[in-house]
Amino acid sequence: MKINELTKPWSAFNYGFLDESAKREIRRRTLKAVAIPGYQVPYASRDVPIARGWGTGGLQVTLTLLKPDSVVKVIDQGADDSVNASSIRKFLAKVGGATETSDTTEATIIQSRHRIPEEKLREDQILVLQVPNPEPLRPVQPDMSIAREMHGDADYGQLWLILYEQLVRSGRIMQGSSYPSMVNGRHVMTPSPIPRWDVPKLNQADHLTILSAGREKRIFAVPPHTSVEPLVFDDVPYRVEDHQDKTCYRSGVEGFFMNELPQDDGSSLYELSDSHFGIKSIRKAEGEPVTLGETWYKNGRME
Amino acid sequence: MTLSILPTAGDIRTNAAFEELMWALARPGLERRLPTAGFRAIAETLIDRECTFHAADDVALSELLMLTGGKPAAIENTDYVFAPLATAEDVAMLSGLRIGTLAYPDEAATLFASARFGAGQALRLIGPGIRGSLTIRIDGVHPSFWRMRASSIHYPLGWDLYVLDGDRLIGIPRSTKIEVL
Repeated sequence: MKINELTKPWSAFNYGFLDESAKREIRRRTLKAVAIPGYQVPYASRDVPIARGWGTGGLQVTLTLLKPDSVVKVIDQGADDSVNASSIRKFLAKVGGATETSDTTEATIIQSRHRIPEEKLREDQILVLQVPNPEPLRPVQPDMSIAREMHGDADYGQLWLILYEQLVRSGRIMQGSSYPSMVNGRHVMTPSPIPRWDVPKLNQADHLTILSAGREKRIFAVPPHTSVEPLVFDDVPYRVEDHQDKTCYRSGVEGFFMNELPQDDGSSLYELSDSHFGIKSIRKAEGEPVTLGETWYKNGRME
Repeated sequence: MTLSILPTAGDIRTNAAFEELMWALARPGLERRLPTAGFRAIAETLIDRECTFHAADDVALSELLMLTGGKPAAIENTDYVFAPLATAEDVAMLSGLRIGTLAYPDEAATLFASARFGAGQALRLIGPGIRGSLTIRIDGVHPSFWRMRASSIHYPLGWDLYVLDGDRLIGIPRSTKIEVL
């Protein structure tokens, strides 16, 4: 075998920014992640032109999946128009020729930081979640080698202890985001810092979710139709945020996850966190021909 | 500066093949279609010089896999195994497939095999990626294979299976439970 049989002709730039060996590695790791739902698969995590901690893990997965007819939506805390989300979306369009969109129903790949859209994802859509800390056991076990053994043994008792301590101290579970969740009855994962509101959207979903932590070099996945159960006590049911009765001050829509905007007089206004869902709702109210997708929550409740 | 943002023919092929491989594992038992028939597209999509492979007695396939830079290895410590499942001897060869460790269950083998879909043994699949249950028919696989699979997989330890019929592909990850009907 000769070296030129193993290489391909020189080119200034590879499609989708990552070189092919990086993509092959992420492909191999992703397949393992899908085969063992919730298990954190180590991967190399190459450099991409944004800083670690700003979505490099999600970006590498999206770049690997990218093809010229991909339609990408990038979300940052529910918004499509933040600097981080816009920059990543433009980068994907530039290096992959992908089409940019803000509409959840049009997207083929949705890369997100800290939210899952309010409109239901279909079985042909892929949700890529950016993960800052992939290890749900870190609060109880800072040594990641020991944490890995604990995952191997399904030794998750201490996670319930944290929740119990929160209950005793505060009267309710204080875990606001990254709520530890049991996947396929075997591995506990952190669903990335999505609010409690979004965790039930992963359970028995139609879409595929891939979670990737670039700085921590871990990739994990939740296939469609897989159980994702937040850790709870039998007598203390899981509670999502109390946003059922909040009304968006811009669109007048009720019953979805809201951003709270403190006002000078001490009161609060609320606006839809899923920004494009809000835009579509306003356009629809103004009589434009906009179709809203089916939503996970109906009247502030999830069946 | 102008960027060449168009993928090459090879990029398109491997990207499409990966998408099929991924959805095949994400939705076990549902048929997917590879861009080209046979193992070639799989090899160029996944395997490079960081991988080991085992291609039984198939010399042509071995040569093809060598071109990816992968290293041939014994079945007990191989990442990617390409093997027939037609006879009891074929199946017995595979009893040593790597199943990973509890700390690293991903350090396990992936088995690729040829078979015929839509006829023969009926299998009922349940598990992640399957809504309720799904019944498929696969022919050309020795009956002992399904027993061997059941006894060697202790989730999360185990190996993942891809079955090919021409360009048609079915994925059966270790998380899938199979009832032989």
